[in-house]
Amino acid sequence: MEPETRVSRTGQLVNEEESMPVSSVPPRVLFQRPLKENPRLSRPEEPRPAEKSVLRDLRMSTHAKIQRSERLFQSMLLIGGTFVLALFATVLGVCLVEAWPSIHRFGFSFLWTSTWNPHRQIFGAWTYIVGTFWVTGIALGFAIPIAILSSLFLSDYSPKWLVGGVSTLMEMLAGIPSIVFGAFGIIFVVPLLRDHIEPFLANTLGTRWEFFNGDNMGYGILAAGLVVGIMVIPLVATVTRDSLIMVPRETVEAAYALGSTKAETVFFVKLPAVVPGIIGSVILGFGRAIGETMAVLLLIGNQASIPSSIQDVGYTISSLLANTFTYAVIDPLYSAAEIELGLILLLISLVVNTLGRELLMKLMGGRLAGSVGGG
Amino acid sequence: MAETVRPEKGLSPFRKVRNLLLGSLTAIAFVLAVTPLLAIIYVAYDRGKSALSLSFITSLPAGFPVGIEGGILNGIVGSLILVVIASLFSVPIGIWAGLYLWDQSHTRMAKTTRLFSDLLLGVPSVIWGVVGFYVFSTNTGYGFHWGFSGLAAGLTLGFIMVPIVTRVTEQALHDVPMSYIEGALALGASRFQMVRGLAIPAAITGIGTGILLGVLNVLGQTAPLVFTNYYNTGIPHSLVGSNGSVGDLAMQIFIYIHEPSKELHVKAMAAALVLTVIVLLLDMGIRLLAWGSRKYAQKNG
Repeated sequence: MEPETRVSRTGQLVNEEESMPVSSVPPRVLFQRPLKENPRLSRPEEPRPAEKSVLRDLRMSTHAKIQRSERLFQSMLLIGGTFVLALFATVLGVCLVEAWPSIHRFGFSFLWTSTWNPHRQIFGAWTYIVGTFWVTGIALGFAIPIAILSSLFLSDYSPKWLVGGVSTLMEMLAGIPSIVFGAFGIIFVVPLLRDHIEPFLANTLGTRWEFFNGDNMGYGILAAGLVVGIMVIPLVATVTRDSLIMVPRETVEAAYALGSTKAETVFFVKLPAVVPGIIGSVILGFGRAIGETMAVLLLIGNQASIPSSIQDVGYTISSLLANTFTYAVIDPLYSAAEIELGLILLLISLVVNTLGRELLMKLMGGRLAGSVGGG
Repeated sequence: MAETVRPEKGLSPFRKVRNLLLGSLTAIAFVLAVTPLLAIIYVAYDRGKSALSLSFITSLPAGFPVGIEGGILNGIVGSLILVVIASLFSVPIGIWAGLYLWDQSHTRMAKTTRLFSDLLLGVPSVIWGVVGFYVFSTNTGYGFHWGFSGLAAGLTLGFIMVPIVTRVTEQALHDVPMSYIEGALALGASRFQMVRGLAIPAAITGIGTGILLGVLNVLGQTAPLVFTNYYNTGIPHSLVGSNGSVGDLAMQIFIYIHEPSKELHVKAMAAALVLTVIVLLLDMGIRLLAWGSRKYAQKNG
């Protein structure tokens, strides 16, 4: 430190360090400023300008400016979050407000009324709910076994070089737009069903059970269900494979050590271990299948009747909305009834998607690509 | 593989047969799962190849019924317009909301917001169409009264994109090591400086992936367009009002495949092939981006 020079009482300039050698005094004294009297004090004291100190500037800015700017930044971010909330409120609000005339008029009986007559102003959702669940059920019944078995193949049986490529391919193909699946259905699946599969079904199983008999049209819940099933397979297979990878190696090795064959290990040890993951993936697949619109609209035949056989045509909620909503807008009650159908679909898929996502989150620690419902 | 050499001598015939049977069952299921997906591309190529040429993607549809001659330029341009509008709307909001969810992830408000953002991911596209119709397109009641128009459809698609971008942005920001953030804050950076100078640059590939993922999800959406922007055989001069509809690839496929005309089906399959190729290229872009950033992270420790 630079030796401090000050004016002594006698008016003589004294170097403090000389007058008071550091080594000779106890260290505590060094920190106490020696009492002094300023000769100029006889004049009225004017306030000295505040010393410039970087530290104090910083401290002041911490308490005032930084705090304010941080708070500003925080609230700006909050606005961003509010957008998402507002978006959700818009979705739910629009559906509720626009569906209100129908909810008010029909109450809960809307759910199990199967009449849909715009001229007599009677609307009921039962036909469409049943059709939706038919298509979803056929799709999942077709997709789940295939998806699970093929994910077992990918995780255990396939040669190593195949795994990476095929998994990537499956994930990529899951992104093909649903309208392309629908076009594929019309060009390929419908003629295939009409000319080969449906006559075959009618001639074999149809002779015993009326359920498999029908008109061999190609269009109908079977075609729609199969195509939606094809769309769901990659989703279920990918998620199942991800959970199969996480089966601990010790479990598998223990099964082998106990003398089980490969198939026994895979089917009776690994598969039961991933049941929660499979349930989660099936729930997600259900959520995807139930909201499917354009492919179903093109393939289901769009006839408002409850299917009694697997070859019947039908109608789903989403395809009804996409098909007739632009006519329905003219009549407030008609459009309200359609939107109430949409509200039912919305609630089902919200519950289902949340359930599946939460289940998988718990299992896999949170990493999950979002899948948008339908297209 | 070490596990291939296993003594399977003393097995009973039942177990041997079961072993083989279950194994081949998985192989059959695998073939059944992959074949239809590849068949889609093959059928689209096979049925559409007579229409495929360079002029198919550079000319407007012509003839009667419209589309029987000419190409799909209107659809490509329209899809591009819609995707650009959707991205312009959803990318700032999505990143903003993602930043919020990341920065204040401990608060109850943020947890609620995350729940609702996840719920939005599960909304079926028909519902988005209905919402878009009542917010943008309807001519009665509240709303913007834009009619069936490109702007309405683009913003509806933007609605669909918002939760996707939000979610992926948040995830990408969570992947930035906490020590970087703490270091920046300890050096005296304000939160805004930290976000602008450190967090967003570090997460930029993840955010880019999220945007591409959103575009991928939005590109093939047809149902919302039925409600907000039907179709246009030409290229519109404005995006709002009664002449504001844009063409769209997915909508074009839908309309062509809905007609019983053989020629239109050929055009539809060719258009489907073009759409599929675009989507797959985009998907490959996402994967390359993710792969590149992983490599980059490995190289730089």
